[in-house]
Amino acid sequence: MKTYEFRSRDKDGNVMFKTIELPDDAALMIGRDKHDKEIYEGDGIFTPDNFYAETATVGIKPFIERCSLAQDALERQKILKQFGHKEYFAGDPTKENMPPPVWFKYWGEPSDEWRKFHGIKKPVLLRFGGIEFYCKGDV
Amino acid sequence: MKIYKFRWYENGKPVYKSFAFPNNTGMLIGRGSDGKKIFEGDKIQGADGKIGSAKLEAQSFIDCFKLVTQ
Repeated sequence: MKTYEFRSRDKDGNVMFKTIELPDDAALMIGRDKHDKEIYEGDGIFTPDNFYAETATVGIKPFIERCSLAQDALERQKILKQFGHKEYFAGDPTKENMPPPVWFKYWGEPSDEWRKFHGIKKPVLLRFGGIEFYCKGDV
Repeated sequence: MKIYKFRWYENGKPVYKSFAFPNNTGMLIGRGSDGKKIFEGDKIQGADGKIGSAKLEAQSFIDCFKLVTQ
């Protein structure tokens, strides 16, 4: 169990403590992002100062309304890293220095440019943790 | 009232629960450099001598501060 402790004062100024026990995977809602979506600790987010996905912590609270929830972004980053890609900019392949080694299905069908760059005639569709992507298929 | 909302998962589905407290409530942020508990709103002092009000976002470095007053 995970414990959260709170301290309040009654109208006479007496201190009162209250402890709440929640499951280990409980996460505190940090605030709302720029699309008014709730962000909880541990969620994947895109920060305003760059396009990278990060794990939300209470540290982002002061600028949470400038962040955006990036569902699955961290998982996508893991996949890209696993395939040897060094950086990942906001899921837009046109912003990459190099065509990414995998092509996420949510981008649509793999582009001809991507196929030519990697020499892939028939991309293989794989799925890791609910995220579908195309790759060369030799991994 | 001050609301703290939490989310966890049960059988893969998110469960949401909110807790309402009086406005003067502070959540425990962590322990300061002297080991004392620091709650939101407490007066804390940094190594540079400056005094400020403890905020939740200082959680990851709260142990660099010491409690001045609750």
